[in-house]
Amino acid sequence: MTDTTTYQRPPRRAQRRHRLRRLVSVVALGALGLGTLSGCAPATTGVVTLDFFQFKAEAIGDFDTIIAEFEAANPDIHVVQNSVPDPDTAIRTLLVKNKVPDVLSLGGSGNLGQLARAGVFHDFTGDPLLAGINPAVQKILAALGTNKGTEVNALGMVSNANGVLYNRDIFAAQGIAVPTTWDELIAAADKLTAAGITPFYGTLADAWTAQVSLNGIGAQLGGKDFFPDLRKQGADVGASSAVSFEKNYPETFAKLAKLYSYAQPGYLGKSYADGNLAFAHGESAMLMQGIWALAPILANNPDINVGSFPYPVTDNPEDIRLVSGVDVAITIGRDTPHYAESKRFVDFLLQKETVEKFAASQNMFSGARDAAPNANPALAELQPYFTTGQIVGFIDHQIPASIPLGPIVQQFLTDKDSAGALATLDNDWRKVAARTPSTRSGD
Amino acid sequence: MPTHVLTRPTPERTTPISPARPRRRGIARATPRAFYWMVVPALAIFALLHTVPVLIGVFFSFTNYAGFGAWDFVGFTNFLALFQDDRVLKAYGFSFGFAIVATILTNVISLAIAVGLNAKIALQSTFRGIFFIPYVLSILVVGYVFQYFFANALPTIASNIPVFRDNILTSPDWAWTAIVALAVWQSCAFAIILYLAGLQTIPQEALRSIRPRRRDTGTSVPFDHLPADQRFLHDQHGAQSQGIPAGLRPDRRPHQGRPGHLDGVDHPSDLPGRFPGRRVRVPVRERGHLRDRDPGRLIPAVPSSSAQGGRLLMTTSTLDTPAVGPAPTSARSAHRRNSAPRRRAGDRPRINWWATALIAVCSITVLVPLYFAIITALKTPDQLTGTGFELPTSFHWQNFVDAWTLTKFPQALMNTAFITVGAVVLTLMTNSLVAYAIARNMHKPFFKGAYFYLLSAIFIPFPIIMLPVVKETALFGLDNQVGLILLYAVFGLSLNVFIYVAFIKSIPIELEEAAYTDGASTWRVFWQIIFPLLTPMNATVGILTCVWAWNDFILPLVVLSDPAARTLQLSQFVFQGQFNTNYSAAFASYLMAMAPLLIVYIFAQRWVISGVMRGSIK
Repeated sequence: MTDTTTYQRPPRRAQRRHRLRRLVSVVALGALGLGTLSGCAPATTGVVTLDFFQFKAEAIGDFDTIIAEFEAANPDIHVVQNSVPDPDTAIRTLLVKNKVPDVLSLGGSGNLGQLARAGVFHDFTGDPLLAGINPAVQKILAALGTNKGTEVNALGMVSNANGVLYNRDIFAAQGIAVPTTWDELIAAADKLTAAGITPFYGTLADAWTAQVSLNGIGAQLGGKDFFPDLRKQGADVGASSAVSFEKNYPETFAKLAKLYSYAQPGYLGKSYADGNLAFAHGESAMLMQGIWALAPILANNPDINVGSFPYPVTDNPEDIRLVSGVDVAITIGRDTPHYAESKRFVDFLLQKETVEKFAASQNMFSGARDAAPNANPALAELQPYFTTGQIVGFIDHQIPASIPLGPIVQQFLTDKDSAGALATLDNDWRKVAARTPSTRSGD
Repeated sequence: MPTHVLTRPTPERTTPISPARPRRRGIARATPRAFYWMVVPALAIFALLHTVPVLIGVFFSFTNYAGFGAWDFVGFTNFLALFQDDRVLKAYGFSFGFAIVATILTNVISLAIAVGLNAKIALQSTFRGIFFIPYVLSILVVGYVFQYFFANALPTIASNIPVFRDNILTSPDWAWTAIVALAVWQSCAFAIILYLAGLQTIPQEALRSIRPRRRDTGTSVPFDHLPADQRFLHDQHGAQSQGIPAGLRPDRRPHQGRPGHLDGVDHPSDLPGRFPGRRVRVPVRERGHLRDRDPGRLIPAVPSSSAQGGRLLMTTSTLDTPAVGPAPTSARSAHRRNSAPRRRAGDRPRINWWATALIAVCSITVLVPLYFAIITALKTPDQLTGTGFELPTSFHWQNFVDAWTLTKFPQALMNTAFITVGAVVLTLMTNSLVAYAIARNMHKPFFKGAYFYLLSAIFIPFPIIMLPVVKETALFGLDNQVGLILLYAVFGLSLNVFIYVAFIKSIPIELEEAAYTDGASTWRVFWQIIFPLLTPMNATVGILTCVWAWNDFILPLVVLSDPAARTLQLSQFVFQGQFNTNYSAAFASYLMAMAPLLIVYIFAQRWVISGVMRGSIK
């Protein structure tokens, strides 16, 4: 038995070690180079770079155009649009890092109010820009929350509207006029059912769609000062307190359930996208969605003749209020070192022409005072509510994100247990109020 | 550098565990300072980037801090609110049940599929590639596809089954099954790799067990039950133990990288007596050291039979192909005389068509969602209707163009690739180093403490540390790609050290002692002897880190500040608007983001599976 195994040094040993070493140094150098790159600002002198935090993914192209125009007119300012995924988390991380952007676009939601209360935005009080903005829009923004309760921390650019979308052709064919009272709405729904047409297309697989119709009704029925009053009560919320969900919202929940009783069978299993598609193809006469659903509906069927009306929830047409949120609000970081340049950019953004062009492109309502009639035929009917200021804010913007409003309403529409759902809301509110100063003080 | 010879015996070693393995624990000398240099900086960074955030996170749980603005100390209010909430308690119960059901199902299904994939089936590597896909698919794709399937396709297909008819996701009693299905579907992919790796260590013959067992006469290892290349190794041992005078045995030489082949320790001829039933293990481990990347940089210059063995080692996924080596050595042919003819007949690559058919059927569960994702990416938005499986009326390639431009794909791809490669390289080089120092000094309280300290972090969920980490990275100027690479290496440390330490403990310490005797420094021993030996674990840790870094969303989202540094997973969010998602373009983009990972895997899968496999043998 012979062993033929001998051992020798591989010739490539040193070479390989060398290669490893080189790899290490390349990686290290690359890392170093990158660190320096990201660390320093562009070397161009005299040009101020503005960090523009932009929350709306759909509007990236429009803002790119606006920025290009702005930079052409202001060669000393360079605007970097930071269009972020998951804006609510992104803005918080920036604040945590203490890197408040120079200029921000934000949705007019509860999050904006919370940030404003924390005092991270500039105070626009007395700014001439305010004269050009629809006061009703500014009022809705202010209701979200401001620093110390007195400042003006954001400016409305464009607004959305949360009404009922309806198929004009179906309404015309059935001889139904746009309802202006609750009874007319129910009569219309009954008539459609009798004609074999689904009145509403329910999409409860996406819980937030239930929240949308709750907003449409509740913002009108819940009482004008419901949320400020609720906050004043602090953690003392329940069936026996002065205001509470259990006290002020039974009618809203009953009417919500009534509308959903007209939804198609199996509405629990249909999604927002299903609803847009079905409505676009005439499978239902109405859709309880805001105007943001118009884009996907028109994408599914560009020829649909669609309109929108506010939820008529009382017997008096005079009472009708359109539920509207500020879709894009603009603000400036409180401590930005480039306030003057930021202000120039904001001035440019909020010019009437810029806003109107932007609103038309985004299928939204201009936040400008005395805005021109909306050229979008689907939105034209709602424009008067803005002109006359008959608009109210969303209720879900007043409810902290830690209360799972969508699932609670979804659950209610599944089991119809109104008392249980309202008690859950009150309980949750109480818990949040007990641990959150912003809900408690309301300032 | 003083040579590290056997000096100070530690108390443990005075009472050896087993007389046969007298020097298995620890290195028999004063701990070189180098070991501390390996561990202490890592511990410091870990403490800074993980433990400090945990403590801050725990502190925050007693406040109502939102990350900015004023805050109050609220005591146990948050905890009370949680535990007084029925939904939270319900969620605990659900999570518990979910974890049990999903874990059992994942393992049962993965094992079954892995057995199938390990059989002699047609298109084996294609099928292995297919079953890996769920692991690299973004959860966004998986979520959408499954949701659409349950909400639209299933009610149409299974319209006579009540639960499926009206969207199982809306049924309070049955929705969880859909979620379990999704979770199992995705987690099976990695489990299959692990099982596949494990299965490959079991000889084909044992699986078939057609022929009666017989014991080989030369040594007592049941020869017939070893795969071909192991038989070769076995022959080598036989030759060495029988034919070479003890003093001339190669394993006596320093720098001889053949752990497991040392006197009295793990010698194959000892195996049946000492480790009955573990006959395969040692020879298999040997394979790693006979490759041309021999850890001691000393390769056996053996004639054809060894070369044959070496080649086999590199392509372990072809193990089941019988190796009919040319010109067997004399020792080998001695064994061959008895077994070779019959083996050749029994081992001929016969395709198991039953297994192929079964695997093909199983692979449909992967291919159907993939098909769905691909055709969705080729549709216009108005075609996203029906069951979702219909072919588009016309292929809308524009989605890919849109995805390319809207996500700024080239830049995002480069960013992602830089972060991923950086994270993998840094993780492999640092984590193995830390693990090595710990594994070799486990008998010292400091290192043992460090081990359990790092290990304890496995149980801390990321959300606890997210906010403080964001704050810290910004404070240290690490809110960029370099910081991200560092975070992956630090956060991966817990699990990776756990993986590495277990493996390093199985590497005989005599190897290193030989190197020390020759005057190698601790660092050199690590880089030249241990690190190459860690290849199997590097493969495992490499895939884990690679897929994690590539598909991660939350860490890049919260850490990166500069929009230009954005990764693929972040830039893809451009398709998710406030209310509306452009699914077609999003899917095109998801597929493009997944493609590089999948391509890398297809090319590397043999290496990955064999790497993981060798790691599974200890």
